[in-house]
Amino acid sequence: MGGRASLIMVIGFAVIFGMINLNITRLMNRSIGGMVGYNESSKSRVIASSGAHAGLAIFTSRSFLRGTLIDKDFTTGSFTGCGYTVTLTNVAGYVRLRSVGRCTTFVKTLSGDPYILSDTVEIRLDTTTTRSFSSLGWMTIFENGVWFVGGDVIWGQVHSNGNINIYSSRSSHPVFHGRVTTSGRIQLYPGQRRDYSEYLVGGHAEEHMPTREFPDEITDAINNATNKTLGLDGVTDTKETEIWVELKQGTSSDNDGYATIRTGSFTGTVVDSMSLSDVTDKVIYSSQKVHVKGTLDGKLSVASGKDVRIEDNIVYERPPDPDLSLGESVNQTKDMLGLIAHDNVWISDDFDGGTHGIDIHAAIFALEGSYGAENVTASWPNTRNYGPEGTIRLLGSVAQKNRGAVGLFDSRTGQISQGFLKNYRYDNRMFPEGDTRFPQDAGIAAQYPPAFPGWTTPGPLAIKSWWESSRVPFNADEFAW
Amino acid sequence: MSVMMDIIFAAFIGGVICLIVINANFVINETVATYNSTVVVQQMLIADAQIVESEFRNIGCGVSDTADAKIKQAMDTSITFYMALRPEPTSIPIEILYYSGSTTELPVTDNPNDRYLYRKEGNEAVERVGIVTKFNLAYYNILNEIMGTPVQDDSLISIKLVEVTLEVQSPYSSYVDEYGNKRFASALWKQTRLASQNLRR
Repeated sequence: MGGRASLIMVIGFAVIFGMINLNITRLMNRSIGGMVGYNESSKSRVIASSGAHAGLAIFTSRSFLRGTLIDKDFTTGSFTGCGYTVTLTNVAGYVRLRSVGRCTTFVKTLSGDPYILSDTVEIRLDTTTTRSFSSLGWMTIFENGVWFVGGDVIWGQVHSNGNINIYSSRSSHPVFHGRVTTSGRIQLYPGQRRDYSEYLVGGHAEEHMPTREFPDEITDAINNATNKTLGLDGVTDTKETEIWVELKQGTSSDNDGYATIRTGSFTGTVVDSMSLSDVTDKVIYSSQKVHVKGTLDGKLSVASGKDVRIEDNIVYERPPDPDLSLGESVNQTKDMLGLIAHDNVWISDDFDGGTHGIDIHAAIFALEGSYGAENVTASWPNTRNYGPEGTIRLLGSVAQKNRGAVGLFDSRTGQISQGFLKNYRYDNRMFPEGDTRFPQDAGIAAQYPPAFPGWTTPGPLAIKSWWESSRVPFNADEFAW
Repeated sequence: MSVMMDIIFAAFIGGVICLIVINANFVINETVATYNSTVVVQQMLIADAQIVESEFRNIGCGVSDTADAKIKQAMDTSITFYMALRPEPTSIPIEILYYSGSTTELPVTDNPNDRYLYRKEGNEAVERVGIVTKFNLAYYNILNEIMGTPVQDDSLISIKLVEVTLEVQSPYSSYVDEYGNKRFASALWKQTRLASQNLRR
């Protein structure tokens, strides 16, 4: 009897104390729950902040990227279960970098679901510092296996996001007069010695450099177009029609040049005429093909939503002399042309200059396509049947997404078999500091063709504001402990 | 005789068991009170800390870099600064003031040191953020040197880091120690290097 009572009493006490202990343990957990929750929320904030810093690092080197820059989840380390998504968006007047962090905490909600904390860091970036692609003598995103060969001469800074291919023969090799950078490597033709120092005159080469990105659109050219939406014939929208633009210098005086815009051909109906000057930026844009030739007196960009076709020589009335300092009187000229294409800038296969080549005074930009000689790589027989055509004497710059060919060379001799050689003189007015031969030009402001695409870089006051979301205090009572 | 002995022993054992139960009850009550106080204090502290921390990290948000100091007044128990509440440029920076009140404002609690932590936004009415026993601020410049308080007007622009010390104690004592002093559950939070990305670096 006594033994049974003792047993019941002991079991009773054990149950009572067990329940008390359980409740006290639960209370202990809750007592540290606040701090644990704070730690979890700090982790969430830190991960969002980390994403913001990672996004800034990308923005610094690839400032044209937009959309989702990073979407990362951590599966190892102390941030396991955490991640962030970083986006970069153009907002009116600024660029917004937003990092949204997420952290799966080890606590569960009362319904048993994992509790995910989320924090946001939002940075407003000042991007007022803009550099034009014309500040490079030559730039490509993809080289497309096209080669620089003997006889090619390139001035100004050269950059490619891909490998730069160089072919040289015993007698000749390409020559670069400025700094050469590539995000890939400089690739010589198989069997040729890897000593490209002889190709570099007055510059140096750097491989594996950060890539430079193109913009998404040629928005500035479209928005700043000054040609008529209702043409002189009262019918044609010159911004939506295939047009032929002839540049006329007027008299030998400055500021009396003009551009005539026609439909059908260079002898077709005049639908617009635009006077040009040294002081007013003008832009001609059409969403269709634009054909262009002539002599420019003034500042102008010719842009197309498709292709720009160079139908004949395009020269400045007063071309600058890149062999002289910008302080010289000849270099006071304001004549400057931009050829901007959403797709391609072609030297038209209708142009036939014999073996005299062609003169092009312009900064060239091809957003999604190439700059090159139209159909030059087509196999014989074709509509053009190119032979050796002489040299392209370019005074300006070239920026293109996919490198286009201007000629084909014989890999046995290194000689051009059809198409053009390249003699690309960089117009130093577009980036005086790029020409190290004239230190006295340092500090002179660069000039760019009107509405020429450029890339933005963060300036010294890049971050206009840094905002972090407020944390709703972590309430331990909302969770199962 | 043996019956008497049984009664005496039963009474003795029963008494011991009663004492154990009563003592256990006291211990359990005290433990529960302590943990409950700790829970309450920590929740209060975390709530205060997260509000303060979230807002201090945005000091200077939306304020032009060419403007004067983003912190208007920096004292050891109060700070006035400018910030935009939202990241959009349309959100105009406003003046925010944090300060701790006097201990005399809370005479009804047991704790003689507790006081309100106040926040004032622009011309709005003062609001109570929480109850603290300590709200201390220290300021560091870019060389990581502590700056004397109150920070002089011409030095406000040099503030790079703010050190925040928050202490929260329970309003009512958990127990009275052997010397008769009331003891309060306490929790301390110190953010030693709170840097707003908007302060000049």
